Amino acid sequence: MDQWVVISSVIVAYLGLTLWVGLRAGRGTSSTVDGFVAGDRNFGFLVMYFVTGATVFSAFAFLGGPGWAYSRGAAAFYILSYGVLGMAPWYVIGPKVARIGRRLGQVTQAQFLTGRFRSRGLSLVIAMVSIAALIPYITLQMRGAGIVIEAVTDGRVPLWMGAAVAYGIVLIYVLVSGVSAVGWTNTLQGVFMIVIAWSLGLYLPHALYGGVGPMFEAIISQRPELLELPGLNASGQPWSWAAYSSAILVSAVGLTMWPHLFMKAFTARDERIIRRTVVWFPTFQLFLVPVFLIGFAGVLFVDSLAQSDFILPHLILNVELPVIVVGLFCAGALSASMSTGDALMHATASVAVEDGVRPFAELDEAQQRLLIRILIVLAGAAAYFFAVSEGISLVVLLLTSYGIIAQLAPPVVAALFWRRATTPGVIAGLLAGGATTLLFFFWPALKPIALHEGLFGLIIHVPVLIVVSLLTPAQDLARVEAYVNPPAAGRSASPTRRGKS
Amino acid sequence: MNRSLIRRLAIGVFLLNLLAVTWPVLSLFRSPEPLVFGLPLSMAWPVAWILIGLITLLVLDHFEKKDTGE
Repeated sequence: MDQWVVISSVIVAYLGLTLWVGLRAGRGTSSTVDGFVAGDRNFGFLVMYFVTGATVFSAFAFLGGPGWAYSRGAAAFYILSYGVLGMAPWYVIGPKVARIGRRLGQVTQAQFLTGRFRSRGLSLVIAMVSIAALIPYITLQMRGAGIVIEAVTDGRVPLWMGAAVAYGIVLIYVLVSGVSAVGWTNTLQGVFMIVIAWSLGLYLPHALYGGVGPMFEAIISQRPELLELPGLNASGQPWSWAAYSSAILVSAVGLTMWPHLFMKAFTARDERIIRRTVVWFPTFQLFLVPVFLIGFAGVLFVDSLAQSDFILPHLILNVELPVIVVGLFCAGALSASMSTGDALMHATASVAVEDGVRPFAELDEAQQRLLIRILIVLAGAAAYFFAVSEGISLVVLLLTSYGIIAQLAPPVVAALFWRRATTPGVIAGLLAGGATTLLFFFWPALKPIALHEGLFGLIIHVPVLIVVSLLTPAQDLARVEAYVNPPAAGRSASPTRRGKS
Repeated sequence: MNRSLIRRLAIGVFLLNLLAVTWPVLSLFRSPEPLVFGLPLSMAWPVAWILIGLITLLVLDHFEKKDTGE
């Protein structure tokens, strides 16, 4: 039997398993918006752990991670450094957000923010920012899936078809089971990713160099500059310390602000589960170690690959591996892509309806769910269109969207911890920070130093938020207090109902 | 041990973490040599901070759990 037939069979079996898990997941969930978007707030620890981990580590980590290690060396280590720093504040913020969301029936980030800073305009701005950042992210996942399938089938299944098949399956299970499908498939995909990354990450250096230590000794003797911090930039010149350090800062600030991660706070069964997820997140972060080892294994074996993101499929196909292992690797890479892609598509549509449409139009539950499903298809279609169009630099778009998403952090912190913050202050800060980020993205020559544009955004954002808040009338302190520190007994009462008495 | 002290210590560790993995402190650990458990120093250093982060969160959570009676 041809090698590609065996590999394709493994992939088909894996995709079938994912579909089965995804379709079964929705069985116990209610057919309400709460059920479809927030899983009836009933995710346990195991599911939350894998949802968080597998959602953070996407096709970008599985293909881009080895690609960075291979082409830019030590620069990739910034990805090791920001995860735990970004997740740790969630130990405090996550449970607070979950408590408020549970009491007021919130399912999105904008609902959480506009609960404190009442403004339909703010809701719309957040919806637009989120969608603009999420679509390129989905596109990247789809391309990742397509690249892997095209590479291992020797081009017999082209990128457009591979991406269509993988994401057709994602579409089916997300449409049927909502966020519960995301939860259970991510658990399956998370286990797959970790097992495959560690096996390959230890096997490849061993097979090619006789071990991890000997591999690095060989790289140090031939290309020492590659392993010296802060590594190399995209054109192979030494990267700057300012760019390396600010990439860590912006990514750490932005990490939990991504809507598809933030919204998962509303899916947890209780606050304790969120805390435990944060505590164990570093164990998922260690998954990057074997991912980088795979990339480094290629350094002395593969001469200048045109597209560094192909290093992983390239190595896999050119090292004598049992064909079943190649198939499993593909399943791992597809796991990484699909486990992030499903959460992203689901979040994009939920945010569009809940924050972009509902503040402006009355919708009943059934209409909301229908509209979310239609928008999931539209978001998928838009991302697919970009995924199969050549010549759009997505990685650049994604890195910038991190800068924009990081601008959601000051409003979230202000909503929870600064009683004097006002709605005009938050809106002004968000617009100023966002505009600054875009300015330095489109005209990088204007940057006074080579910092990440998102960091310039934050440097402008925070003072504007503070000054405008202080210049505008303070919010009613009793209302703010009731919002931020709800009385324990009033868990299920909604504010509209309370007004009746 | 009292909870607010543990919280402050945890915040302190994460601030140290931030300093340790960015310039200028990081420049002390820029070299690939020596190898630590087979990894170059420049990679072993951020990996070590992931482990320190894990331990910090476990200790913090242990005391938070005890205090809230969970």
